[in-house]
Amino acid sequence: MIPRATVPAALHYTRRADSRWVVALGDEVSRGSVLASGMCFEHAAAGGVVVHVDHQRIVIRTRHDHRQELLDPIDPRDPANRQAVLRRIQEAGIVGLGGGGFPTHLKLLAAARGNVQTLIVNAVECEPGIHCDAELIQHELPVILEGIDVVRNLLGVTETYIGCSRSTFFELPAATTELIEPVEPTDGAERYLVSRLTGTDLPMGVRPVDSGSIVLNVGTLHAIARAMAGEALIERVATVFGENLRVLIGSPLKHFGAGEHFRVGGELSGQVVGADAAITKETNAVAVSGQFKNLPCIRCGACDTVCPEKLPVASLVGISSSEGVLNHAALGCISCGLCNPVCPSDIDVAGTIRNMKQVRQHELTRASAAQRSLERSTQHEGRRLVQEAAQAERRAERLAKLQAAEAAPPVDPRA
Amino acid sequence: MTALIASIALVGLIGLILAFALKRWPSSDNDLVLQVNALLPQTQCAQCGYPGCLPYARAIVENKVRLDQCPPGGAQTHSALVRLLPDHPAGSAPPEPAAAIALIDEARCIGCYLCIPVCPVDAIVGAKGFMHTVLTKECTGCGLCVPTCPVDCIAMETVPTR
Repeated sequence: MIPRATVPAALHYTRRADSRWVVALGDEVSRGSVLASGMCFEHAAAGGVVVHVDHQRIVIRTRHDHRQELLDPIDPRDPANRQAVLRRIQEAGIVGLGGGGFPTHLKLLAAARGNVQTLIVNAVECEPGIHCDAELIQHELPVILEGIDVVRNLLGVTETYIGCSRSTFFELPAATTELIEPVEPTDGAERYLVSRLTGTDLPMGVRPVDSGSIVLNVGTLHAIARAMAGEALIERVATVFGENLRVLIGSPLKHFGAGEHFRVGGELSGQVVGADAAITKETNAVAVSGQFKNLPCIRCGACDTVCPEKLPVASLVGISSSEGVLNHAALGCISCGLCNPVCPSDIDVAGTIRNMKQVRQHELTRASAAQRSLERSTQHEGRRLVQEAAQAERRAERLAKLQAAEAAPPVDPRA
Repeated sequence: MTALIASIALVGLIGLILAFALKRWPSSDNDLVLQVNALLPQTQCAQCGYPGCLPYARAIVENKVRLDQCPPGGAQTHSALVRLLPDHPAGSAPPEPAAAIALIDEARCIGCYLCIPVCPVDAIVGAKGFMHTVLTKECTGCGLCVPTCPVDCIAMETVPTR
C-alpha cells in the first residue's frame, strides 16, 4: 500500500475556467461531494464545512468524517455505455495527472471524433525529483491495466504502446513496451514520446490526436478505472519531500512541512510557489525550494545551447517584454526546464518563458474573442438595420394610405 | 550603366520613403479608424459613451477623445492605443477588467423579450412568453441586458480570467 498523508485542517481549491461553484458559504460537504461543476468538476477530498468562497477560491475546514459519496459503478465493457463512460470521466473531474492538467474527457472526445488508432501509455518518469508513477505501477498495476482496458474499449484502438523508464517498466499482452534508456528530461513530453514510439514527428501546435494517437499518463488511467467504480478524483500519488504519498487534492503545501517557498513539479521543470499554494490535480511532486537570485543576464547563451526546441531562449529572457515576434516563439516552449540549471546568473529562465507564454496565450484568446464578438455584432447590427428599414417602409405605407383616405372626399352613407 | 544604377537607387529610395510615410501617416482617417477599431475588444458594451466600438474609434480619430474610456479593454488595450497614437490625449490606464458573464435566473424570467434585441452579440436565446437563457460561451459581459429586465432576473457573474 502507498502510505496516505494525513488529512489537513483545511483544504483549498481553485476554480478552473468553465466551471462554477455549486456550494455556498457554510454548506456541509462530505468526502466526494461536488464543489464545482461545468466543463470541469471539482470534488471535496474530505468532509467538512465551507468556510470561504469567492469566485476563484474555496476553503473547506475538515472534520473527521470518513463517509464517502460514491457514484454508481459503470460497466465500461458494455458498448451501450460509451457515452456514460465519457460523461463519468468528466463528472469524476479527471484531468491529465502527468502535469499537463488538460481535461481528459475533452482529449478522449477529440480522439473519439478523430481517427485515433493508437493508445500511448505514458509511464516515462524522466525528471529527477518525481517518482510517483513508479510507486503507482509497483502497487496498483491491476487498476492501471483496467484503465487501459476502459480507454481501449471506448476508442476501439488497435495498437497500444507503453513508454516507460527502467523504474516504471511493465508489460501487457497485445501491447508494445518501449523501454527508454537512458532517460532524457524531455522523453516524457507528449510530442517527443509520440515521435519516439510511432515514428511520426509532430510539429509545434499539432496535437497527438490529429496524428492518430492519444497519450495518457498512468496516473490518469488509474483515475479513469477508479471513476468507473464510482470514485471521483479526490486524491493522487505525489512525491512529497522525496517520499511517495497518497495526498488529498486541495491539501495546503504547508501541511507537509515548513518552508517559505515550495517547488511544485520536478527538479528541472518545477515552479516555485508561495507557502499559500495547495496540491492540485497536476501536482506530481513537492519540495522545499530556495529562490532564484535573478542576477543580470550576461548573454552567455548557455540556455540557447541546451534548449531541445532550439528556441532563442537568451533573446526571450533578454527582452522580457510582452511584445513582438519573439514573444510568439515562447509558445514553442515545452517547459522541460533544462535552461534553469545551466544559467550562471541563476535566472528563473523557464519561469520567465512560462509567463511570456501565458501572456501570449492570453493575448491570442483575447484577439479571437474580439474577432468572434465582432462577427456576431456585425450580424446583429445588419439584422437590426434590415428590420428597421422594413418597419420604416411599413410605416410609410400606412401613412400614405391614411393620407389618401383623408384627401378623398367623404363618402355619403345615404348614396 | 551609372544611369541604370542611379535610377534603381532612386526608385528604391522613393519606395522606402513612401513605405515609411504610409506607416507614419496612414493614408486617410478611415484607415486609422479601422486600425483603432481593431485594437478595441469588440464587446460593443457602450461603456465609453458611444454606441459601440467602431463609433468610439471614430470619435478617437475625429474628435481627439481620450484613450482611456474602454473599461473592458483594460490596461492592455489602453497601452496598445497609446502605442498607435502617441500624440493623443491618453488619460490614465483603466484597471484590469474582471471577466464577467450575464446569467439569467431562469425561474424568475417572464419571457418578456426585452433583453434579447439589446444583446449586441445575440448571446441571449428565447422567445416571447418563453424562458430566456444566456449562451455563456458567446456572452462578452457587456451588461447591456441587465437594466432592460423588468423583473431584475439578470445578474453579472465574475468568471476566472481565461
